[in-house]
Amino acid sequence: MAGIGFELRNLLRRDSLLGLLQAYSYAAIIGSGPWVLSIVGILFVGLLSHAVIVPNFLVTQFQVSVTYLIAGSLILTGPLQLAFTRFISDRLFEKRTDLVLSNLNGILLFTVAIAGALGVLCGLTLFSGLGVLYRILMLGGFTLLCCVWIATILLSGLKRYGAIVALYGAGYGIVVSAALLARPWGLEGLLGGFVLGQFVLFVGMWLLVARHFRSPRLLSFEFALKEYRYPSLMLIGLLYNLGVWADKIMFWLYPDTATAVIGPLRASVIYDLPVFMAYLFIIPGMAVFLVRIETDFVEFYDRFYNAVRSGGSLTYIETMRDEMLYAIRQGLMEIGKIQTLALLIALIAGPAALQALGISPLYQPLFNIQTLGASLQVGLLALLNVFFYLDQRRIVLQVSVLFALGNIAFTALTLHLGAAWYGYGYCVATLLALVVGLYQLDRKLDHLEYETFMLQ
Amino acid sequence: MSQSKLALYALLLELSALLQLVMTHSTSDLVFASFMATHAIASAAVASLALLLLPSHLTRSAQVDWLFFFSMVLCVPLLGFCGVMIGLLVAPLLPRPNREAALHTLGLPELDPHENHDPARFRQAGLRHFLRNTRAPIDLRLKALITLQHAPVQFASPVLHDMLADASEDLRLLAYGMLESREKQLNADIREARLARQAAPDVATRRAAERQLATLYWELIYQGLVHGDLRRHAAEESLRFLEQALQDEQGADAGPHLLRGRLLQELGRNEEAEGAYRQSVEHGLPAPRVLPYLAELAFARRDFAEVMRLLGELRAYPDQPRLQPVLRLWGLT
Amino acid sequence: MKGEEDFPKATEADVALLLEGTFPYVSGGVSSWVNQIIRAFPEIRFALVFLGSRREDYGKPKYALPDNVVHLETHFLHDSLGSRAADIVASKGDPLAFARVVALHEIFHQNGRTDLAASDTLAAELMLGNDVLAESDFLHSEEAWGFITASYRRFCADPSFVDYFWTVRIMHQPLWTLARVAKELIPVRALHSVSTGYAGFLGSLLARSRGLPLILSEHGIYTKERKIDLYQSEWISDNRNIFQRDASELSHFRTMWIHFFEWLGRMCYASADPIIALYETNRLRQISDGALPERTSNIPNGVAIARLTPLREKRSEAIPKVLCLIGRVVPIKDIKTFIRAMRILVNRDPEAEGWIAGPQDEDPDYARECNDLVDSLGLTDKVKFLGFQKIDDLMPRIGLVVLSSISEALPLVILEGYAAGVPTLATDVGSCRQLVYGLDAEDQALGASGRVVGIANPQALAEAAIDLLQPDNWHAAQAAGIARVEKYYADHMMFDRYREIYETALQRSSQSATPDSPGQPMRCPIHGHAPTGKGDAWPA
Repeated sequence: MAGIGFELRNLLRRDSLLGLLQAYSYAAIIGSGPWVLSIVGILFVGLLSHAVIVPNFLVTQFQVSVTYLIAGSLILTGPLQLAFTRFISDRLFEKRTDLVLSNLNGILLFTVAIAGALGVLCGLTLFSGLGVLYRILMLGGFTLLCCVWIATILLSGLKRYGAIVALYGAGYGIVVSAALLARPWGLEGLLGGFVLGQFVLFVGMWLLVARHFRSPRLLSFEFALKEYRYPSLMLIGLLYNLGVWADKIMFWLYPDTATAVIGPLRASVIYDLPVFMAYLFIIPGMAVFLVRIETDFVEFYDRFYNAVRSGGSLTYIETMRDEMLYAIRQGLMEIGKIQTLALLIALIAGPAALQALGISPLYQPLFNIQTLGASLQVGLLALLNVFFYLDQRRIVLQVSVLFALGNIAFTALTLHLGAAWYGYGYCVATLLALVVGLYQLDRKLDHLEYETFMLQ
Repeated sequence: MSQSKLALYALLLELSALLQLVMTHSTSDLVFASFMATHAIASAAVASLALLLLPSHLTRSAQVDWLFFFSMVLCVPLLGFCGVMIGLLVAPLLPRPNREAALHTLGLPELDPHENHDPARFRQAGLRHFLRNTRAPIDLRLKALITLQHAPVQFASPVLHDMLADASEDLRLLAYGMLESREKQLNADIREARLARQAAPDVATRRAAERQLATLYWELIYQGLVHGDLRRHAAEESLRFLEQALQDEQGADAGPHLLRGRLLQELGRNEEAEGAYRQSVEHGLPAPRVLPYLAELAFARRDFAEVMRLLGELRAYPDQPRLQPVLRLWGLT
Repeated sequence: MKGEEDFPKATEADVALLLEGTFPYVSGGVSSWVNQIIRAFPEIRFALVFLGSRREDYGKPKYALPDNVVHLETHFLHDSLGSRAADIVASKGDPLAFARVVALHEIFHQNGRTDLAASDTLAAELMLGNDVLAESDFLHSEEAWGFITASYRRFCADPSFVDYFWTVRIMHQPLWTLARVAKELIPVRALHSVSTGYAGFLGSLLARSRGLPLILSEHGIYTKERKIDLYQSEWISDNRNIFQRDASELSHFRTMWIHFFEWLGRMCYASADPIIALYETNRLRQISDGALPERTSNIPNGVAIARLTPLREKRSEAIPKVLCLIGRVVPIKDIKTFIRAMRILVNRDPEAEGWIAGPQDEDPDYARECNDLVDSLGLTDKVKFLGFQKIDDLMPRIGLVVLSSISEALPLVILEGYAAGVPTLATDVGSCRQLVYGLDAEDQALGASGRVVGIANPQALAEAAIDLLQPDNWHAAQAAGIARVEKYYADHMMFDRYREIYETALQRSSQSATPDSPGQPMRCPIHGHAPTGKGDAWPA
């Protein structure tokens, strides 16, 4: 008599039962880190060229052009970045390494087509009347930056932080040196140097991927299959990047705070420089974040899910949960400490630094508040990263919406309230998102095992 | 050919157009549009060239691949062309990264605090007698039988075979299950070795598989899983594979010769067995390993003087506790 | 699912047959028996409820449905494990329901048999009563999580929590499917289950909720067969390390499964009357598993002798040296021992052949192992896998019906062999000894109609075959077999007994129902009130 019992063996394969928990996760948000490097590079080019290039406004035109390129490309590729890393992590977990390179090429085709079409369109309309060579360089730079972000996010998903930093170092080294050599050709020269640097950076990253992963085909589009699409991650990517840039864009558009620099591009002299300088001060926090979250936290995270998957005892699972929690608290606390220190240095050394750079001391208060905001943003990055590890996309989405809308709303308010309040909008929005995220994290970790097991 | 020439012309054209742009600082939309148009034509030619350079096995759809090259070259003027060429020509030349090291560092195992809640463990001496005692409670006998899972196979198998005839169905079935799973494992290994032998690309691999097959068939006998005619069949198969494995092997180690001796003895071919034992000693096996078997063969020949002599030699090796009773019986201690 | 819309559907029927993993999807002894019974009572309208594990484990139905099957529904208990993503919602859970769950499991853990009736009622209440434990609560609520973790800490000797968790889920979730089946089944007047297990549990739920009589005919003992699976399975993991392991304990999860199936069995025995076994040993086992002795009885299988008698004429004069094992190629039949015995037999008598007549699709891994064994024993042209064969074609061409099973009940093929004039060589399992050597003195006087040997003993099997194939021995056994089957195992004897049982049950059912609405219970048997709201109304 054939009862049902004997069929049970087919059901007890743990892997299929527990589903695919992502062994890999996303250092995805860290992908936003490299744009800090970009800003620093551009500031640096500006500082070095200030004395040499005459007239001076050409340098400003260069900086503003590149800033727009960076902002535009980040927002455009935002929806693709996270979803694509997730796609790659999951395929690697399935040991489908053959899909990596061809899908990278596939998504590059997709990106280049859109970015190129947008670029040509802008070149014919918004940038009408500007130098033809400038327009061509802007088109190339925009397309390349989009590719660079995609490649960066992929490599950070693969945890190739060392390679990322080295390639960015090389890329921006070329940007700076090519810009210095090409100074005689003015704006086009500086921009040409920038495009060349981005090109080297992208080709380097692509070759790195091509070296480690072979595909049987040049192109494939599995990432676009319905079962591999992550609408929530696409939305998060868009919202987060929008959130980061919302206040800057608003300051550029607001008539009182901005002036036209080149063609349609406007810049806010009072806002931009303090903001981008403030980003210099978050580098220590980013470093701590990388070390703490990517080592301590990930270690216990791995042990937690390994214990869940491969038969650890409940007590052990709970211990690992506690350790994970402890690592997160420690990480956030250390980011807090180091950023406080950075903030103090900014407060003390700020006036002297501004003076040395020939920047008006009037910028000082805005610079201070921006440094605080940027520091909070490091905490937010760390937090979102933890949520990505725990695959809490819903919470990340919630926090991203809050961050983007908060930034828009509070910045609008400060623009209305007047110059004394500038910078507070961004700062408050970041703080709000951080606090809500921390609260959610606490709740989530309390119920982690319950949710891991019972909600599947 | 003509295509690559065309691409070259296109590129030269584009380069001159770019140079002209650098010189003239034109701001005209018309110039921008006309440059993009000629650039598009040039890009199309370059993309066709790139498609020619692409190894054909990488292509799934030539149109889509062409589009990929075209968009890359079109959207990043000049550099796009360089990038595509680097991708096509340089990437295949990159050295493959060294495979991940085969050795991994493992952490110390951790003590899992999950404890066994039931301290009442089975303690029973004389397992075999206990199992035969039909008046003992079935539950206890079941536990005793389960304990055999951790006993050496050659000890457990005869007991399990006895239990197949037990009056209690639960005991019979459990004993059957335990025997069956052992035999299943061995048979699965035999199947794999057979397939490996069939698929062997060269003689050395084939010989290795044959040697493994010989060992596996011998294992069926050693573990007491086969009886009667089947035991004989296993011995024959084992010997057949062993002799195939040995046929062209020079200076093999002693192991296979010892196994061959045991198989020949198992099959009653005693004279050949003796030869095999001697060969194994010639190949470096310590004498005390084969002395008991030689003595057995002598005993079978009723050559008791030789038995005494061989066992006498064994006295020189007192580290064989299992043979001590034999020596005592023959009055050699 | 393809073809299922063609199943007959009715609004009511006389007898609901509860079939787990058998007729009409799986061929074999029990299925043939079910087929026999349905066809023997054309005046009864049957509703068939088939329970399977997963849809993909079964092909097309193996039997044509008789005309008096007016209704067939299929349910696959392991198809719906877990929930659809959209249905996963965190919840607190109903504390009251979980208090009952705790009480129920306390009774199990007390190990005494004092409160078993209370536990059955509690369980029925939780599945179908007024305060049901919702499936989603079992799957997703915090209360359930609390209970599962507490039980794990208290009882689980195996450290692997994930295995414990999934064992609990896979074990219990089908019960909710069964509760749904019980709620939605068309009105019937009597229930007939051919096993305990999940089908028996469904029978018990139906009997309790609708106040219907439940007939239980057990062929093998379900609980015992599950134990065989569990003893042999490698799929149940044991994650205890050397410090945690007690050498005399099986994997904790095996123990959980065994307890669970024992409990399912008890639930069914408590509701069923009569409880029918095929032979005495099984009846005693049912009693020791919890059946009330006064409800139990034996009804042996029977075969249609008149249909099989002509096959004797088709036999050739010489005894074919063909040993035929008729049965599915599954581990419980121990096909491997038969193959090994063939190796020995062929050594002694190169003309001998072994046939294996039965489907190989039920356990493909095992079938492959058997084929490998044939190869590795060098029997490729001596042992043939014939697949499913018609008895009428097969019987005249074979010399012996062989059964090397490690467990059997009362195998129909032995009886069919006897009727067709073929003696039997069987292992000493189930009622084989009784079938070969006779039960009482009168039966034994007919002589041996074959040979019986110990299980998993190829040598003995081969030697008995050689002995039995001696023409004198063989003809004596043939005569004894024909006499035995005609005297004790004719199908009309079995049908007479079942006619009586069905009549009694249908009568009991119409007595308890109101005259104008046959098949509908007046009152909820658990609460004693009439159905009120739509939520707990029994389906009409």
